[in-house]
Amino acid sequence: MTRHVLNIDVPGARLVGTAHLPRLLDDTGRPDANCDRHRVGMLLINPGPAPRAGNSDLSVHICDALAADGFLAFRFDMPGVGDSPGSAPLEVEKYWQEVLQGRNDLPLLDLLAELRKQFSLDGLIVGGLCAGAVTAIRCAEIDERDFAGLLLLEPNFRLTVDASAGTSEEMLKHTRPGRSSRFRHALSLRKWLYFLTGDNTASKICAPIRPLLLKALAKIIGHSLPQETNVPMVMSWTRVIRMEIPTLALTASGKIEEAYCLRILDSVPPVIAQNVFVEGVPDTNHILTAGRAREYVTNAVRNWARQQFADSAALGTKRKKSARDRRRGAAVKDRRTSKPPSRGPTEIRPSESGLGVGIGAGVLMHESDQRAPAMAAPRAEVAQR
Amino acid sequence: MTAIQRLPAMPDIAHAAAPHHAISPFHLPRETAEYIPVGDDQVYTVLHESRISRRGLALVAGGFGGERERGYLTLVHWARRLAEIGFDVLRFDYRGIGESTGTFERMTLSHWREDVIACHRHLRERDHHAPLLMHGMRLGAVLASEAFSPQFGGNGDALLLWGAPQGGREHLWELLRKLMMVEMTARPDAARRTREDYVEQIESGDALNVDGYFWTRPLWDDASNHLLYRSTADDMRPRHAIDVKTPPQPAPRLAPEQTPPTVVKADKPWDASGMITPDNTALFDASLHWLNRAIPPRHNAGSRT
Repeated sequence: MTRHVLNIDVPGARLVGTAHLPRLLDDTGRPDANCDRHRVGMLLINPGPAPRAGNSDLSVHICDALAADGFLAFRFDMPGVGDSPGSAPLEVEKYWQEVLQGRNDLPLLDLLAELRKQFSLDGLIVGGLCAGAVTAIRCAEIDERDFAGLLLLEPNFRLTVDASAGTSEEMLKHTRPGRSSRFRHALSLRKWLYFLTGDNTASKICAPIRPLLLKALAKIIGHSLPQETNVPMVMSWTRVIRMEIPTLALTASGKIEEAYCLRILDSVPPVIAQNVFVEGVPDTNHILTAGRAREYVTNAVRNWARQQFADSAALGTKRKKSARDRRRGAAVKDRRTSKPPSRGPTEIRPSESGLGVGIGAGVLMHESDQRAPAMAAPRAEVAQR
Repeated sequence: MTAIQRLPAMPDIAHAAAPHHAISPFHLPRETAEYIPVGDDQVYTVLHESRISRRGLALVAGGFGGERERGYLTLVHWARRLAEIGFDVLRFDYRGIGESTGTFERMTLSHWREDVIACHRHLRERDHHAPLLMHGMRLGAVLASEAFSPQFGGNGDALLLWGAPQGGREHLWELLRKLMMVEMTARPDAARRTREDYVEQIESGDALNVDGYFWTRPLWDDASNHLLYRSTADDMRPRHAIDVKTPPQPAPRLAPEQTPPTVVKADKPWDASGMITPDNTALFDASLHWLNRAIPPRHNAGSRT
């Protein structure tokens, strides 16, 4: 396998990236047409503002592993971060808000089209960690044509980035809360959510009664997501799930993003969500640097890609035509140039419980799932390791 | 091991794109990324070329592990700033980290010092006479200072250090303190471990995960062989150290310098914070203030494009 630096110009930006090539290139610098490679590639983008190698080089390891299996794998810096020229705000929070408003959408879509064309690919598995996953979802919804799959690493469905980002000294302060901060914690929605998702000390102590509390909440307020949920983003993902794009979502096991993923999936009829696999990575953190996450994630992605795209290995072999492929032609026409896609019959309605505090200020409902609270539905599919 | 091949130049995809895709080359920094071979591996380098008459060359050695990620954009911006005032700047990733090939677990500080020297050699090939600035941040400061020392060839004509620790071992020891804090925050209910516990783990042969990188015993042992080079009396080449002090913290213990270091009050670019890059204005200004004396601008500077 080899690596090669790429500079790709898209409207208004130059994007710098790295290609992990499964085998030798031919004389023109393109992959050798005779090599035994997949017709599906992989593209990972920055995890938030970190460079394209990813936190602790996770993206490098994933791409190396996939290239060893015959996939063309790419990592690119979005404008203003890593080696790609451009400007970026100083604050992480502001960057996050810009990502949610589509800062990286068009560069990614143009990049995908270029990569697909230049490397003669049927499509690409697109993904990234946190903000990278969010951008991938947004783009899949806008134009799915170039998407062969989605790799979502700790996708963030909240309106803000985690407050855990801070200096070491600031973090230390959080470990010893004073009286006033304890009081604030008791009233904090975020802390209650952490408690209910088993993500703090109190929840571990109360482990036996936590499921009962969750059930009681579900009965009271039906299916819901927390108040800080980025509802448009959740809706985007549910629409993307309905496009039947094969998806692997890897989340830190037992942490808040996993709870979000599973609850969102629960709101989609299982038959539709069968292409989505959610897997928990044990003993790790949001940026997947703690514990043995690197090895775990790399293996999980590798196994999933082998299973999902086994039939794309030989040249000329097309992926099985899915309902998605059949729909493709008409459905995605002009999406890229038009306004944001219509929401269809899916709607958000205010919480019947009217709870302004605690969990559930908004209720997520689906046209095919109006009656059954999704929390009671079986999970779509959770890969067990 | 991943092999990087020297390949025929990849056709510039930009040229194949539709005309409206074209970006004026004058609006883009002149930056070229390429791999250079070092040992059995390949070091990823990015050359920032100046558009004006060459004032000098600069080699930028950054931090390693998590400090690389956090300080990355700061160094990119710094390299672009230097390129604007006439320096051709080369920055790079150490082997086993980031874009460079190699396995981190097989690397030591001695390998990375070789990288610094190899990159210096590569940069020097552009111009054998222009003054060359060796610049290092954090661990890069230790390694750049070693490469600057007569013992390792006296590479470079001036030395600029940001946040220099006293040596490799001291630096790793400091990073272990941050690991303690991270663990206390992430797993408040877990048994507290001390730095001595971490060292014991490393010395017993078990790799220790720090910021997602697995520190090995050879890395730890080798670190004690790397000390910040302090210029001797007969070494008249200019050097300067700048440290960044976040206002509420006590003054850091600085490596002894012949001239007092400049202390800049700002957020540390290599430290975790809610910023993508902190406001580096003070750090850059202090560095440029010294640089204007160490490598003065040429009066006949003009465009060379």
